[in-house]
Amino acid sequence: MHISEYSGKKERTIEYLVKSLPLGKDTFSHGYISLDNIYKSVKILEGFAKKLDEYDLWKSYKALCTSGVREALNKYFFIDYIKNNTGIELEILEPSDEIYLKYLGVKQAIPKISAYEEDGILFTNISSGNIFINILKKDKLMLSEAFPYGNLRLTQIFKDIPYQKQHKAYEQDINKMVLTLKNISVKKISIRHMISSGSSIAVLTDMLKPNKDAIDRKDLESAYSQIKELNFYEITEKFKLREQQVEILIPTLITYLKIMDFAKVKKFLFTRNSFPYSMSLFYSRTIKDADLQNRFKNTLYHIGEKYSYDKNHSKTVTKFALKLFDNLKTIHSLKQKERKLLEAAAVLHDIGYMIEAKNHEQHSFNIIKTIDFPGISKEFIDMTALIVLMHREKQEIYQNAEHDDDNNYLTDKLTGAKNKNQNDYYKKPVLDNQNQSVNNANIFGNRNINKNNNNYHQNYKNNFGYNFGDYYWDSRAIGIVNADNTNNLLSNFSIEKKLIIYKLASILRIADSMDASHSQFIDDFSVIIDSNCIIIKSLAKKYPYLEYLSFYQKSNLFKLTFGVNIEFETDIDFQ
Amino acid sequence: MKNLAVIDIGSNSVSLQISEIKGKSYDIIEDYKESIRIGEDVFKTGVISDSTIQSIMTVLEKMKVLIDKKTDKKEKPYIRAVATAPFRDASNSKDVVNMAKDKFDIDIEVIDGNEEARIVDLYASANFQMSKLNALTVDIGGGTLELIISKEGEITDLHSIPLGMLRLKNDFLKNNPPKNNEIEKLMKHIEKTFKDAGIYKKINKDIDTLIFTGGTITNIASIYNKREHLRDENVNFVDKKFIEFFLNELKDKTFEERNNIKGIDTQRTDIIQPAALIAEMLLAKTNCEGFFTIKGGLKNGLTIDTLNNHGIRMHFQENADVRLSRILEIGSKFFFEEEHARQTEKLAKILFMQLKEILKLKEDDYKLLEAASLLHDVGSYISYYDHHKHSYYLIKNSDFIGYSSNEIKIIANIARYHRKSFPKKSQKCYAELSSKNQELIQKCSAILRIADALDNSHKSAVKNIDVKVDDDSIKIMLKSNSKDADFSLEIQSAIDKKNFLEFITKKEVTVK
Repeated sequence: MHISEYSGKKERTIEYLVKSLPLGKDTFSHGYISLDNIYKSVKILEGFAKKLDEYDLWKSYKALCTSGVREALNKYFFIDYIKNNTGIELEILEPSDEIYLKYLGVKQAIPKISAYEEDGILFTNISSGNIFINILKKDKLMLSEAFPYGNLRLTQIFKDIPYQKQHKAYEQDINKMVLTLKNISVKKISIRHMISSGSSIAVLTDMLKPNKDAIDRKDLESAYSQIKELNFYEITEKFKLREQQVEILIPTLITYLKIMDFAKVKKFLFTRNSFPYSMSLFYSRTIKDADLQNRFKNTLYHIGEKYSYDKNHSKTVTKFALKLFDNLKTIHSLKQKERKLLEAAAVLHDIGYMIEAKNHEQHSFNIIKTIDFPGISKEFIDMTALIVLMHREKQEIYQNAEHDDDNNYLTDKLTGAKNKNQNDYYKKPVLDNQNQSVNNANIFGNRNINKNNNNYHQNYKNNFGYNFGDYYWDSRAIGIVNADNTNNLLSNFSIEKKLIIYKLASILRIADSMDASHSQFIDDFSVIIDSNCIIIKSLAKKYPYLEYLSFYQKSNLFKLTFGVNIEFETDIDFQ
Repeated sequence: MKNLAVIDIGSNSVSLQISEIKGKSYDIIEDYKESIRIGEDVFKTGVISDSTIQSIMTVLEKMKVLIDKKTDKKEKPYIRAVATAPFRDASNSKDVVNMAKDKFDIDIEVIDGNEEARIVDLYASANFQMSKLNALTVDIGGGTLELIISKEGEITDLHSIPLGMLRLKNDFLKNNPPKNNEIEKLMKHIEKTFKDAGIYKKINKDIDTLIFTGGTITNIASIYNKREHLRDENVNFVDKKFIEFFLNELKDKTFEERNNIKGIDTQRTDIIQPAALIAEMLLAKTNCEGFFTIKGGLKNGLTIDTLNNHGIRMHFQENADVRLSRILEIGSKFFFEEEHARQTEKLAKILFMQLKEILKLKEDDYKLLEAASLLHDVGSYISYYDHHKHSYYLIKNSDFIGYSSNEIKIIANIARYHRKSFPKKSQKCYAELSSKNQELIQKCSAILRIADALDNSHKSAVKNIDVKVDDDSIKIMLKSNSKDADFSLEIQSAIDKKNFLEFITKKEVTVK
């Protein structure tokens, strides 16, 4: 617990309290927090509650929990029980928010970091239950991952292995993590600096007692080689550590050594500021992250490259979308924040191509949903994903506004309207083809093409014309399991947010259509706002057939959203 | 070589394919095509007309720009351009070749019919398990037909005959709509040409699979898919009955009237009929129930052939098993850890073989587990967090060879459940499958969990395993080459993951 007083931008620490209770030990070994430890938590928090009384802080406190509670199966019971017995309302901190807060805390303590972000920096948070790794370079977030590997977790996984063999097990397991890390950071990134935070720092500083806020690799190494030879009690004696600290010492040392090997750095920096202190600074808005937007923007392009996007197309669409946004301000009346949403959606709209061109908007949607960017809210990401999903006209949100072929097929089926050219062959209901085997064509043992297609068909039918693939996350996605169509997805948002999504998707569609050929025939355009029509006048290198076609298909949503016609005119630049 | 661009100059169109090389696999980053009927001039007059030459140059220029735009700026892409029938026949093709060299530094290689057939076959082999088939592969082009007969993977006949669609249309279908006697004459000519080439008899009931490539025939497949509301895939199957029906539909319709056919390529309304006629004839002669079409054709073969020339062999060429090669290609696309994938697959196979009886698994089910073990970690490409769910998604949306879409779902599910959580009926991806398939997923993922755990270190330390099954226990014993191998981590992680197998078999599982 950290109690601060703020006068202006200045923080003064009034009190700092720490109580040790390894809840993670329960969670990482049994999956839940034992009742005994819940009682102990109540005891500790009762004490903290008294402090809140004392300073009259019940209206301005923040109580957060991380992995030990976050991953416990009985977390809701735990939170409820604490609330009923102490009055303290706990909030669960999501992994990306956790690392973001820690990162800001470190950044505040070590101002040089902003410069390091340019050279390549590995920021890690090694705590009892998780290891977060962020790699920043050239103002981009190159990698952001959470690994279930914290020091307490490791001791729980390998608690049944004989003590003298445990360090080998830890080594192997952390090696695996580093291998995974190497594998996912596809391109080699050269890293110059490393900064660490998390509960693991305390045990290292207690043991090594460094003078500065930095620890050298060689010190860690010599400590590790000494410890390997000692037994549990000898370590406790020699380094004057608490038993709980000794338990996590070896996995902590190994984790640091391996990550430093991966980053090829000789030392790492840390701050002695506690996590509650960083929290206090953040929630009191004392620290701000000035680079956040810029870093996020750079990272969008980095993500695009990871999924081999068409950079020129993406840049053009982004340029067009933002220009439209700026020129249509009087009509859409959206703000700067929404402009950022549009920008993110425009950069990423086609990344799903890598998985498959058909249905790429769904793949883009699904990939974007997985983006975890410390400092950017989940809602922002979800809205971006949805705008991207709607960038293709087949994802229609106004019912009956437009029919594509597949929809016509369904209406045909429902109304009994059938193909004029009927013959026996076509009278057969489509779904009966299942039994029709293609013996001769049975090329791969049991591959049966018709059967294959029928599954697809069934799927199609179930979804009533909208095949959205599967929303494959069930726990992380907020309530969008079994969603049938965009409308369902949209229903998770308030009316205001929905309208923002409609507006931005309408603009994105227009921007995308103006580079439909992905060939950048159109360089620039101007927007004329008339009382009943918006005219886009563009200058093209050659007649943009595809762009015209696409514009008239894609502009429908714009008309329906804003209630105004939008026209497209082109002058050919013969130079 | 990072990027490769191939240009195919055919009778009907000029097409370009740009790809990015990724190990033993490649990603197509651009497919571009422009229709120029070079054949039209040549088959009538014997020369490529000035205006056509002009069009070719314009297209090449455009392609050159496109290549520059789409490829790496630092490392120049390798460009290979190939011309077929019309260049072989035209008396002035040398001039055009020289012009392309002078203007754009593009060397156009004029290849003969047999070479063309060989390259097409290369592409077919990437999509079909040729070693199990007696296949007739036909590239239906504008100027020529390339026919390849292969028996169990060995090419027995290669032919290139001048029966291209454009040529047939020009020579025989002079009226719009074509008259019945024109079509009769055309059929007679086709038959005669096949006989003259000495392959008429070779196309018989021994052939069990018909594979067609070429734009016109792929368009017929698209029309078929549209009508049947099927998904247009890379490889499509067209029913024999459809061809009869379709030919009836084309009859007495003008080229313009054909524009109303849903899905038809409006630039092919005149040449689609000869293509359907040839398909009908080959279907009748082989007694196949239908034919396969593969999208792309010569240019895709060219990409593979050019990579081969540079010493890069595709997965399917090294493994002789296209099904497996495609799995590895999918893995490479998402940068999987091939060694861990292969080790997991190896261990999964041993476990599968030893446990298949008590688990009541069929030998054939292994191919599902095989794919799942090789691809179980691909989801890490998206993010390590929840990577099993991402693996599910990527697998489900990948283009496999030799698996039905239902089987792909099973594979995706097996990978989905390779970590801790058990399959639950509340999860849509699992619940949507039949109970029989769900059972299969449970069994296979129970095996995959242990196999994955036994390579927890990702170092392929375990060389072999022994499995002993008793009435109430399953004993898994690890073996290694060196005596002092320490498997404590592998054993520990396998013990963590054994509960699912115990749950299914109701036997105690021990790992030593």
